[in-house]
Amino acid sequence: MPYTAEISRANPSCIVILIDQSGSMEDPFGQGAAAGKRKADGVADAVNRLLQNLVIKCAKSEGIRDYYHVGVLGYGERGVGPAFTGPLSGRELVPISEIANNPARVEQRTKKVDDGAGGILEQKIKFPIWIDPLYKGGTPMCEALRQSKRLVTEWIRKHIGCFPPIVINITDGEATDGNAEPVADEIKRLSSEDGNVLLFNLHISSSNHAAVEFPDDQSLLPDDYARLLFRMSSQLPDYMWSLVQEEGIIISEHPKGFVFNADLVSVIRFLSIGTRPSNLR
Amino acid sequence: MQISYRTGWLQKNGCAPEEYEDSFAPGEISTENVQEFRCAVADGATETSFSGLWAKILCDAYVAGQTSLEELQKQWLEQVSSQELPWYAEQKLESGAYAAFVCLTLYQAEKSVIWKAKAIGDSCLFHIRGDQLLKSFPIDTWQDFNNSPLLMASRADRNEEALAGVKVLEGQCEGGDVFLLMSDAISNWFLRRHHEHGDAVKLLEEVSNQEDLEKLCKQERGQRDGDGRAFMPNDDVTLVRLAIVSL
Repeated sequence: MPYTAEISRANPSCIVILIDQSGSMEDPFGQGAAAGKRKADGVADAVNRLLQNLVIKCAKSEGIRDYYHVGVLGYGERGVGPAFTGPLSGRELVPISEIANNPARVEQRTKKVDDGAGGILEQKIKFPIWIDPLYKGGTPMCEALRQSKRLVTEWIRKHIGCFPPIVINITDGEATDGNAEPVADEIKRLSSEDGNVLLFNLHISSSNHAAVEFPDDQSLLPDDYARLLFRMSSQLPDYMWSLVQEEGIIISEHPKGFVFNADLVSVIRFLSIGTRPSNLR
Repeated sequence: MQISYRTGWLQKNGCAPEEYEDSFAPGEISTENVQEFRCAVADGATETSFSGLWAKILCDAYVAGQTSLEELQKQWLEQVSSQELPWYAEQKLESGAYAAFVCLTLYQAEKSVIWKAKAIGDSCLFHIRGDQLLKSFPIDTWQDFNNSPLLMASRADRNEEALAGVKVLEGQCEGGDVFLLMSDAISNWFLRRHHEHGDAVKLLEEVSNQEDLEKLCKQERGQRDGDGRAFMPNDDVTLVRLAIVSL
Protein backbone atom coordinates (compact mmCIF):
# COMPACT_ATOMS: atom_id res chain seq x y z
CA MET A 1 0.00 0.00 0.00
CA PRO A 2 1.59 3.36 -0.98
CA TYR A 3 2.16 6.28 1.40
CA THR A 4 2.51 4.07 4.47
CA ALA A 5 6.31 4.25 4.96
CA GLU A 6 7.22 5.24 8.48
CA ILE A 7 8.99 8.60 8.65
CA SER A 8 11.88 8.29 11.08
CA ARG A 9 15.40 9.57 11.57
CA ALA A 10 16.66 6.44 9.85
CA ASN A 11 14.18 6.89 7.01
CA PRO A 12 13.49 10.62 6.66
CA SER A 13 11.43 12.27 3.94
CA CYS A 14 11.87 15.53 2.06
CA ILE A 15 9.79 18.54 1.19
CA VAL A 16 10.66 21.08 -1.50
CA ILE A 17 8.79 24.39 -1.53
CA LEU A 18 8.85 26.55 -4.64
CA ILE A 19 7.96 30.22 -4.20
CA ASP A 20 7.03 32.53 -7.01
CA GLN A 21 9.01 35.76 -6.41
CA SER A 22 8.07 37.50 -9.65
CA GLY A 23 7.01 41.14 -9.93
CA SER A 24 3.28 40.41 -9.73
CA MET A 25 3.72 39.08 -6.17
CA GLU A 26 3.82 42.73 -5.09
CA ASP A 27 0.08 42.98 -5.79
CA PRO A 28 -2.38 42.45 -2.96
CA PHE A 29 -4.49 39.36 -2.33
CA GLY A 30 -7.97 39.80 -3.69
CA GLN A 31 -9.95 37.58 -1.37
CA GLY A 32 -10.37 36.45 2.21
CA ALA A 33 -8.85 37.59 5.48
CA ALA A 34 -5.61 38.63 3.78
CA ALA A 35 -7.28 40.89 1.21
CA GLY A 36 -5.12 43.96 0.68
CA LYS A 37 -1.95 42.30 1.98
CA ARG A 38 0.91 41.96 -0.50
CA LYS A 39 0.98 38.42 -1.90
CA ALA A 40 4.75 38.20 -1.40
CA ASP A 41 4.36 39.10 2.31
CA GLY A 42 1.54 36.64 2.76
CA VAL A 43 3.43 33.80 1.13
CA ALA A 44 6.64 34.52 3.10
CA ASP A 45 4.60 34.47 6.32
CA ALA A 46 2.94 31.23 5.29
CA VAL A 47 6.22 29.51 4.43
CA ASN A 48 7.86 30.75 7.66
CA ARG A 49 4.89 29.44 9.59
CA LEU A 50 5.05 26.11 7.76
CA LEU A 51 8.73 25.76 8.67
CA GLN A 52 7.95 26.76 12.25
CA ASN A 53 5.17 24.17 12.50
CA LEU A 54 7.32 21.49 10.96
CA VAL A 55 10.15 22.24 13.42
CA ILE A 56 7.74 22.08 16.36
CA LYS A 57 6.32 18.81 15.08
CA CYS A 58 9.82 17.31 15.02
CA ALA A 59 10.82 18.78 18.42
CA LYS A 60 11.23 16.32 21.26
CA SER A 61 12.45 16.71 24.81
CA GLU A 62 16.05 16.11 23.77
CA GLY A 63 16.02 18.38 20.66
CA ILE A 64 14.90 18.10 17.06
CA ARG A 65 14.55 14.76 15.29
CA ASP A 66 15.48 14.90 11.61
CA TYR A 67 12.30 13.41 10.20
CA TYR A 68 12.44 15.81 7.23
CA HIS A 69 14.92 17.60 5.05
CA VAL A 70 13.45 20.75 3.53
CA GLY A 71 14.41 22.94 0.60
CA VAL A 72 12.90 26.30 -0.34
CA LEU A 73 13.61 27.60 -3.86
CA GLY A 74 12.54 31.01 -5.06
CA TYR A 75 11.94 31.91 -8.71
CA GLY A 76 11.89 35.42 -10.11
CA GLU A 77 14.26 38.10 -11.35
CA ARG A 78 17.40 36.21 -10.33
CA GLY A 79 16.29 32.96 -11.93
CA VAL A 80 15.89 30.01 -9.58
CA GLY A 81 17.82 29.50 -6.35
CA PRO A 82 17.67 28.72 -2.65
CA ALA A 83 15.39 31.19 -0.87
CA PHE A 84 16.68 30.86 2.68
CA THR A 85 18.01 34.06 4.16
CA GLY A 86 20.44 34.26 7.09
CA PRO A 87 22.83 31.44 8.04
CA LEU A 88 21.18 28.94 5.67
CA SER A 89 21.54 31.25 2.69
CA GLY A 90 22.55 29.32 -0.44
CA ARG A 91 21.62 25.91 1.00
CA GLU A 92 19.29 23.58 -0.90
CA LEU A 93 18.00 20.62 1.17
CA VAL A 94 18.55 21.24 4.87
CA PRO A 95 17.81 18.84 7.78
CA ILE A 96 14.95 20.20 9.90
CA SER A 97 17.22 20.40 12.99
CA GLU A 98 19.51 22.84 11.20
CA ILE A 99 16.50 24.86 10.10
CA ALA A 100 15.32 24.94 13.72
CA ASN A 101 18.60 26.24 15.01
CA ASN A 102 19.36 28.72 12.23
CA PRO A 103 16.56 31.17 11.53
CA ALA A 104 17.76 34.49 10.07
CA ARG A 105 16.13 36.21 13.04
CA VAL A 106 13.33 35.73 15.54
CA GLU A 107 10.68 38.48 15.47
CA GLN A 108 8.17 39.30 18.18
CA ARG A 109 4.63 39.24 16.83
CA THR A 110 1.27 39.39 18.49
CA LYS A 111 -1.51 36.92 18.18
CA LYS A 112 -5.06 37.25 19.32
CA VAL A 113 -6.16 34.61 21.81
CA ASP A 114 -9.38 33.92 23.64
CA ASP A 115 -9.11 35.18 27.24
CA GLY A 116 -11.58 32.53 28.40
CA ALA A 117 -14.10 35.18 29.49
CA GLY A 118 -15.55 36.16 26.15
CA GLY A 119 -12.80 38.64 25.31
CA ILE A 120 -9.69 38.66 23.15
CA LEU A 121 -6.17 39.07 24.48
CA GLU A 122 -3.10 40.00 22.50
CA GLN A 123 -0.29 37.61 23.22
CA LYS A 124 3.33 38.15 22.20
CA ILE A 125 4.86 35.23 20.32
CA LYS A 126 8.25 34.48 18.86
CA PHE A 127 8.12 34.25 15.07
CA PRO A 128 11.28 32.87 13.44
CA ILE A 129 12.10 34.10 9.95
CA TRP A 130 13.89 32.05 7.31
CA ILE A 131 12.32 33.57 4.19
CA ASP A 132 11.94 37.26 3.29
CA PRO A 133 9.40 38.49 0.73
CA LEU A 134 10.80 39.19 -2.76
CA TYR A 135 8.92 40.31 -5.89
CA LYS A 136 10.64 41.25 -9.12
CA GLY A 137 11.06 40.02 -12.68
CA GLY A 138 9.54 37.11 -14.58
CA THR A 139 8.23 33.72 -13.53
CA PRO A 140 10.70 30.93 -14.44
CA MET A 141 8.42 28.24 -13.05
CA CYS A 142 9.56 25.53 -15.49
CA GLU A 143 13.15 25.95 -14.34
CA ALA A 144 12.03 25.92 -10.68
CA LEU A 145 10.19 22.64 -11.28
CA ARG A 146 13.25 21.21 -13.04
CA GLN A 147 15.43 22.18 -10.05
CA SER A 148 12.99 20.55 -7.66
CA LYS A 149 13.01 17.45 -9.84
CA ARG A 150 16.81 17.34 -9.56
CA LEU A 151 16.67 17.63 -5.76
CA VAL A 152 13.96 15.03 -5.41
CA THR A 153 15.67 12.60 -7.82
CA GLU A 154 18.91 12.82 -5.82
CA TRP A 155 16.99 12.39 -2.58
CA ILE A 156 15.19 9.27 -3.78
CA ARG A 157 18.43 7.76 -5.06
CA LYS A 158 19.77 7.93 -1.50
CA HIS A 159 16.47 7.11 0.29
CA ILE A 160 14.63 4.64 -1.91
CA GLY A 161 12.37 3.39 0.91
CA CYS A 162 11.29 6.87 2.05
CA PHE A 163 7.83 8.30 2.37
CA PRO A 164 7.52 9.99 -1.05
CA PRO A 165 8.89 13.54 -1.22
CA ILE A 166 6.41 16.40 -1.53
CA VAL A 167 6.90 19.38 -3.83
CA ILE A 168 4.74 22.41 -3.06
CA ASN A 169 4.59 25.15 -5.67
CA ILE A 170 3.16 28.52 -4.62
CA THR A 171 2.46 30.91 -7.48
CA ASP A 172 0.09 33.58 -8.68
CA GLY A 173 0.16 32.78 -12.33
CA GLU A 174 1.73 31.67 -15.49
CA ALA A 175 5.28 30.53 -16.24
CA THR A 176 7.26 32.92 -18.45
CA ASP A 177 9.74 30.23 -19.50
CA GLY A 178 7.51 27.72 -21.26
CA ASN A 179 4.84 25.14 -20.56
CA ALA A 180 5.21 23.80 -17.03
CA GLU A 181 2.92 20.81 -17.51
CA PRO A 182 5.44 18.34 -19.04
CA VAL A 183 8.01 18.88 -16.27
CA ALA A 184 5.25 18.60 -13.65
CA ASP A 185 4.35 15.22 -15.16
CA GLU A 186 7.99 14.15 -14.96
CA ILE A 187 8.06 15.03 -11.25
CA LYS A 188 4.84 13.10 -10.56
CA ARG A 189 6.29 10.04 -12.30
CA LEU A 190 9.24 9.91 -9.89
CA SER A 191 8.72 7.44 -7.09
CA SER A 192 10.25 5.86 -4.03
CA GLU A 193 9.32 2.31 -3.08
CA ASP A 194 6.45 3.82 -1.09
CA GLY A 195 4.75 5.69 -3.91
CA ASN A 196 4.96 8.56 -6.36
CA VAL A 197 6.29 12.00 -5.57
CA LEU A 198 3.46 14.40 -4.72
CA LEU A 199 3.24 17.76 -6.46
CA PHE A 200 0.83 20.27 -4.98
CA ASN A 201 0.03 23.73 -6.27
CA LEU A 202 -1.25 26.75 -4.43
CA HIS A 203 -2.58 29.34 -6.80
CA ILE A 204 -2.92 32.70 -5.10
CA SER A 205 -4.66 35.44 -6.92
CA SER A 206 -5.56 39.09 -6.86
CA SER A 207 -8.94 38.27 -8.37
CA ASN A 208 -12.09 38.15 -6.29
CA HIS A 209 -13.11 34.70 -7.46
CA ALA A 210 -14.22 32.54 -4.55
CA ALA A 211 -11.69 30.17 -3.00
CA VAL A 212 -11.60 26.63 -4.34
CA GLU A 213 -10.04 23.94 -2.18
CA PHE A 214 -9.07 20.46 -3.32
CA PRO A 215 -11.34 20.33 -6.38
CA ASP A 216 -11.82 17.27 -8.55
CA ASP A 217 -13.14 19.17 -11.54
CA GLN A 218 -11.28 21.89 -13.41
CA SER A 219 -14.46 23.40 -14.79
CA LEU A 220 -14.92 25.09 -11.39
CA LEU A 221 -11.81 27.18 -11.97
CA PRO A 222 -11.91 30.67 -13.43
CA ASP A 223 -9.01 30.80 -15.87
CA ASP A 224 -6.53 28.80 -17.94
CA TYR A 225 -3.66 29.33 -15.47
CA ALA A 226 -5.66 27.85 -12.64
CA ARG A 227 -6.76 24.95 -14.84
CA LEU A 228 -3.16 24.30 -15.85
CA LEU A 229 -2.00 24.24 -12.20
CA PHE A 230 -4.94 21.96 -11.38
CA ARG A 231 -3.83 19.49 -14.05
CA MET A 232 -0.24 19.71 -12.83
CA SER A 233 -1.25 18.68 -9.28
CA SER A 234 -1.18 15.16 -7.85
CA GLN A 235 -4.34 13.54 -6.63
CA LEU A 236 -4.47 13.59 -2.82
CA PRO A 237 -3.43 10.19 -1.45
CA ASP A 238 -5.97 8.46 0.78
CA TYR A 239 -4.23 9.29 4.05
CA MET A 240 -4.25 13.02 3.22
CA TRP A 241 -7.83 12.79 2.07
CA SER A 242 -8.70 11.55 5.56
CA LEU A 243 -6.78 14.41 7.17
CA VAL A 244 -8.52 16.98 5.02
CA GLN A 245 -11.85 15.45 6.03
CA GLU A 246 -10.81 15.60 9.69
CA GLU A 247 -10.15 19.31 9.22
CA GLY A 248 -13.83 19.62 8.41
CA ILE A 249 -13.32 20.43 4.73
CA ILE A 250 -15.92 18.79 2.54
CA ILE A 251 -14.22 17.32 -0.48
CA SER A 252 -14.98 14.89 -3.23
CA GLU A 253 -13.54 11.40 -3.37
CA HIS A 254 -10.74 12.11 -5.83
CA PRO A 255 -9.56 15.66 -5.15
CA LYS A 256 -6.35 17.19 -6.44
CA GLY A 257 -3.71 18.71 -4.20
CA PHE A 258 -4.61 22.16 -5.46
CA VAL A 259 -5.96 25.30 -3.85
CA PHE A 260 -7.13 28.33 -5.80
CA ASN A 261 -7.32 31.83 -4.41
CA ALA A 262 -6.81 30.48 -0.94
CA ASP A 263 -6.66 32.93 1.89
CA LEU A 264 -3.68 32.64 4.21
CA VAL A 265 -5.42 30.33 6.63
CA SER A 266 -6.16 27.91 3.82
CA VAL A 267 -2.58 28.09 2.63
CA ILE A 268 -1.21 27.24 6.06
CA ARG A 269 -3.73 24.51 6.64
CA PHE A 270 -2.99 22.96 3.29
CA LEU A 271 0.75 22.98 3.89
CA SER A 272 0.30 21.51 7.34
CA ILE A 273 -1.79 18.70 5.98
CA GLY A 274 0.88 17.80 3.52
CA THR A 275 3.39 17.49 6.31
CA ARG A 276 1.34 15.58 8.83
CA PRO A 277 1.23 11.94 7.81
CA SER A 278 -0.76 9.94 10.31
CA ASN A 279 2.21 7.58 10.76
CA LEU A 280 4.61 10.32 11.81
CA ARG A 281 6.33 9.18 15.03
CA MET B 1 -3.66 -12.43 48.68
CA GLN B 2 -0.45 -13.55 47.11
CA ILE B 3 0.57 -12.04 43.80
CA SER B 4 3.30 -12.38 41.26
CA TYR B 5 4.39 -9.28 39.32
CA ARG B 6 6.74 -8.75 36.42
CA THR B 7 7.37 -6.07 33.83
CA GLY B 8 9.14 -5.62 30.53
CA TRP B 9 9.66 -2.74 28.12
CA LEU B 10 11.29 -1.96 24.83
CA GLN B 11 11.81 1.28 23.00
CA LYS B 12 10.65 1.83 19.45
CA ASN B 13 12.97 0.36 16.86
CA GLY B 14 15.37 3.09 15.66
CA CYS B 15 15.24 4.96 18.99
CA ALA B 16 17.67 4.92 21.91
CA PRO B 17 16.53 3.36 25.21
CA GLU B 18 16.46 6.82 26.82
CA GLU B 19 13.91 7.85 24.20
CA TYR B 20 11.37 5.33 25.52
CA GLU B 21 8.28 7.39 26.40
CA ASP B 22 5.99 4.83 27.99
CA SER B 23 6.06 4.36 31.71
CA PHE B 24 4.84 1.87 34.29
CA ALA B 25 4.68 1.55 38.05
CA PRO B 26 5.66 -0.03 40.30
CA GLY B 27 9.04 -0.96 38.86
CA GLU B 28 9.22 -3.94 41.20
CA ILE B 29 7.51 -5.13 44.36
CA SER B 30 8.93 -5.71 47.80
CA THR B 31 6.41 -8.30 48.98
CA GLU B 32 4.13 -10.76 47.25
CA ASN B 33 1.61 -10.86 50.08
CA VAL B 34 -0.65 -7.82 49.86
CA GLN B 35 -4.06 -6.59 51.00
CA GLU B 36 -4.29 -4.08 48.19
CA PHE B 37 -2.25 -3.60 45.06
CA ARG B 38 -2.03 -0.87 42.45
CA CYS B 39 -0.25 -0.76 39.12
CA ALA B 40 -0.38 1.43 36.00
CA VAL B 41 0.90 1.83 32.46
CA ALA B 42 1.04 5.10 30.53
CA ASP B 43 2.13 5.89 27.02
CA GLY B 44 3.46 9.39 26.32
CA ALA B 45 2.33 10.66 22.91
CA THR B 46 5.22 10.83 20.49
CA GLU B 47 4.02 14.04 18.85
CA THR B 48 4.31 15.96 22.11
CA SER B 49 7.47 16.68 24.06
CA PHE B 50 8.27 15.74 27.65
CA SER B 51 5.48 13.19 27.32
CA GLY B 52 7.63 10.41 28.81
CA LEU B 53 7.94 12.52 31.94
CA TRP B 54 4.17 13.06 31.99
CA ALA B 55 3.58 9.31 31.63
CA LYS B 56 5.93 8.64 34.54
CA ILE B 57 4.28 11.26 36.76
CA LEU B 58 0.84 9.72 36.09
CA CYS B 59 1.96 6.16 36.87
CA ASP B 60 3.97 7.00 39.98
CA ALA B 61 1.19 9.16 41.38
CA TYR B 62 -1.46 6.50 40.86
CA VAL B 63 0.55 3.85 42.63
CA ALA B 64 1.34 6.27 45.47
CA GLY B 65 -2.36 7.09 45.83
CA GLN B 66 -2.03 10.74 44.77
CA THR B 67 -5.21 11.67 42.96
CA SER B 68 -5.06 15.41 42.39
CA LEU B 69 -4.56 15.84 38.65
CA GLU B 70 -3.97 19.52 39.22
CA GLU B 71 -0.98 18.73 41.44
CA LEU B 72 0.46 16.39 38.82
CA GLN B 73 0.08 19.00 36.10
CA LYS B 74 1.89 21.49 38.32
CA GLN B 75 4.64 18.98 38.96
CA TRP B 76 5.12 18.41 35.20
CA LEU B 77 5.25 22.13 34.47
CA GLU B 78 7.75 22.79 37.25
CA GLN B 79 10.07 20.09 36.01
CA VAL B 80 10.00 21.14 32.36
CA SER B 81 10.25 24.86 33.13
CA SER B 82 13.33 24.50 35.28
CA GLN B 83 15.62 24.61 32.26
CA GLU B 84 16.26 27.20 29.56
CA LEU B 85 14.80 26.02 26.28
CA PRO B 86 15.25 27.01 22.61
CA TRP B 87 12.33 28.76 20.88
CA TYR B 88 10.83 25.58 19.41
CA ALA B 89 10.89 23.66 22.69
CA GLU B 90 9.24 26.61 24.41
CA GLN B 91 6.47 26.75 21.78
CA LYS B 92 5.99 22.99 21.86
CA LEU B 93 5.57 23.11 25.63
CA GLU B 94 2.58 25.41 25.19
CA SER B 95 0.53 22.53 23.85
CA GLY B 96 1.52 20.38 26.83
CA ALA B 97 2.26 16.67 26.99
CA TYR B 98 -0.27 13.90 26.44
CA ALA B 99 -0.42 10.29 27.54
CA ALA B 100 -2.68 7.26 27.37
CA PHE B 101 -3.17 5.72 30.79
CA VAL B 102 -4.52 2.49 32.21
CA CYS B 103 -4.48 1.54 35.88
CA LEU B 104 -5.60 -1.33 38.05
CA THR B 105 -6.34 -1.71 41.76
CA LEU B 106 -6.89 -5.06 43.44
CA TYR B 107 -8.29 -5.14 46.95
CA GLN B 108 -9.39 -7.75 49.40
CA ALA B 109 -13.14 -7.66 50.02
CA GLU B 110 -14.92 -9.78 52.60
CA LYS B 111 -14.96 -13.04 50.68
CA SER B 112 -13.24 -12.19 47.43
CA VAL B 113 -10.74 -10.00 45.67
CA ILE B 114 -12.15 -7.14 43.61
CA TRP B 115 -10.39 -5.49 40.69
CA LYS B 116 -11.06 -1.97 39.44
CA ALA B 117 -9.59 -0.48 36.30
CA LYS B 118 -9.64 2.95 34.72
CA ALA B 119 -8.43 3.90 31.27
CA ILE B 120 -8.07 6.85 28.98
CA GLY B 121 -6.75 6.37 25.46
CA ASP B 122 -5.39 3.20 23.98
CA SER B 123 -3.24 1.58 26.67
CA CYS B 124 -5.12 -1.58 27.59
CA LEU B 125 -5.87 -4.07 30.32
CA PHE B 126 -6.58 -7.74 29.64
CA HIS B 127 -8.11 -10.08 32.21
CA ILE B 128 -7.16 -13.70 31.64
CA ARG B 129 -8.38 -16.86 33.32
CA GLY B 130 -6.63 -20.06 32.29
CA ASP B 131 -6.17 -19.69 28.56
CA GLN B 132 -9.31 -17.56 28.17
CA LEU B 133 -9.36 -13.82 27.55
CA LEU B 134 -12.24 -12.67 29.78
CA LYS B 135 -12.02 -8.89 29.34
CA SER B 136 -10.32 -6.52 26.99
CA PHE B 137 -10.45 -2.94 28.22
CA PRO B 138 -11.00 -0.22 27.00
CA ILE B 139 -10.49 -1.46 23.41
CA ASP B 140 -12.06 -4.71 22.17
CA THR B 141 -10.76 -5.12 18.63
CA TRP B 142 -7.45 -4.35 16.99
CA GLN B 143 -9.15 -2.37 14.21
CA ASP B 144 -10.19 0.23 16.81
CA PHE B 145 -6.62 1.44 17.33
CA ASN B 146 -5.86 4.65 15.46
CA ASN B 147 -3.35 7.48 15.47
CA SER B 148 -5.46 10.00 17.31
CA PRO B 149 -6.79 8.59 20.58
CA LEU B 150 -8.14 10.80 23.35
CA LEU B 151 -5.31 11.28 25.86
CA MET B 152 -4.70 12.76 29.28
CA ALA B 153 -3.11 16.20 28.95
CA SER B 154 -0.68 18.00 31.21
CA ARG B 155 -2.68 21.18 30.65
CA ALA B 156 -5.90 21.50 32.59
CA ASP B 157 -7.64 23.44 29.82
CA ARG B 158 -7.08 20.58 27.33
CA ASN B 159 -8.56 17.89 29.54
CA GLU B 160 -12.28 18.45 29.63
CA GLU B 161 -13.00 15.93 26.88
CA ALA B 162 -10.42 13.43 28.17
CA LEU B 163 -11.79 13.46 31.70
CA ALA B 164 -15.28 12.90 30.37
CA GLY B 165 -13.90 9.99 28.38
CA VAL B 166 -12.30 8.08 31.27
CA LYS B 167 -13.64 4.54 31.26
CA VAL B 168 -14.08 2.42 34.36
CA LEU B 169 -14.55 -1.32 34.75
CA GLU B 170 -14.52 -3.68 37.70
CA GLY B 171 -15.01 -7.32 38.54
CA GLN B 172 -14.05 -10.19 40.81
CA CYS B 173 -10.86 -12.23 40.70
CA GLU B 174 -10.22 -15.88 41.18
CA GLY B 175 -6.96 -17.46 42.22
CA GLY B 176 -4.78 -17.98 39.15
CA ASP B 177 -6.21 -14.98 37.25
CA VAL B 178 -3.77 -12.91 35.27
CA PHE B 179 -3.94 -9.21 34.34
CA LEU B 180 -1.87 -7.75 31.54
CA LEU B 181 -1.46 -3.98 31.24
CA MET B 182 0.10 -2.92 27.98
CA SER B 183 0.71 0.12 25.80
CA ASP B 184 -0.98 0.36 22.41
CA ALA B 185 1.40 -1.35 19.96
CA ILE B 186 1.58 -4.63 21.86
CA SER B 187 -2.13 -4.42 22.79
CA ASN B 188 -2.95 -4.00 19.12
CA TRP B 189 -0.78 -7.01 18.23
CA PHE B 190 -2.29 -9.05 21.09
CA LEU B 191 -5.90 -8.46 20.02
CA ARG B 192 -5.15 -9.10 16.38
CA ARG B 193 -3.24 -12.29 17.14
CA HIS B 194 -6.02 -13.43 19.48
CA HIS B 195 -8.64 -12.78 16.79
CA GLU B 196 -6.71 -14.34 13.90
CA HIS B 197 -4.85 -17.23 15.55
CA GLY B 198 -6.30 -17.61 19.04
CA ASP B 199 -2.87 -18.14 20.59
CA ALA B 200 -2.03 -14.62 21.86
CA VAL B 201 -2.56 -15.54 25.52
CA LYS B 202 -0.27 -18.52 25.19
CA LEU B 203 2.41 -16.52 23.39
CA LEU B 204 2.46 -13.80 26.06
CA GLU B 205 2.45 -16.33 28.88
CA GLU B 206 5.64 -17.68 27.37
CA VAL B 207 7.26 -14.27 27.77
CA SER B 208 8.95 -14.68 31.11
CA ASN B 209 11.74 -12.12 30.91
CA GLN B 210 13.05 -9.09 29.06
CA GLU B 211 14.90 -11.20 26.52
CA ASP B 212 11.71 -13.07 25.57
CA LEU B 213 9.86 -9.78 25.13
CA GLU B 214 12.57 -8.36 22.89
CA LYS B 215 12.55 -11.52 20.78
CA LEU B 216 8.78 -11.43 20.37
CA CYS B 217 8.73 -7.72 19.45
CA LYS B 218 11.55 -8.09 16.96
CA GLN B 219 9.77 -10.94 15.23
CA GLU B 220 6.30 -9.35 15.15
CA ARG B 221 7.54 -5.91 14.12
CA GLY B 222 9.28 -7.52 11.18
CA GLN B 223 6.30 -9.50 9.87
CA ARG B 224 3.92 -7.76 7.51
CA ASP B 225 0.39 -8.45 6.38
CA GLY B 226 -0.94 -8.25 2.83
CA ASP B 227 -1.34 -4.46 3.13
CA GLY B 228 2.29 -4.04 4.17
CA ARG B 229 1.42 -3.30 7.81
CA ALA B 230 3.61 -4.75 10.54
CA PHE B 231 1.71 -7.15 12.84
CA MET B 232 3.15 -5.20 15.76
CA PRO B 233 3.39 -1.46 14.96
CA ASN B 234 6.82 0.00 15.56
CA ASP B 235 6.32 1.89 18.80
CA ASP B 236 7.45 1.74 22.42
CA VAL B 237 6.27 -1.44 24.13
CA THR B 238 5.36 -1.94 27.77
CA LEU B 239 4.11 -5.15 29.34
CA VAL B 240 3.04 -5.43 32.97
CA ARG B 241 1.88 -8.87 34.13
CA LEU B 242 0.13 -9.34 37.43
CA ALA B 243 -0.96 -12.81 38.52
CA ILE B 244 -3.09 -13.70 41.54
CA VAL B 245 -1.27 -16.70 42.91
CA SER B 246 -3.84 -17.26 45.68
CA LEU B 247 -6.68 -15.27 47.20
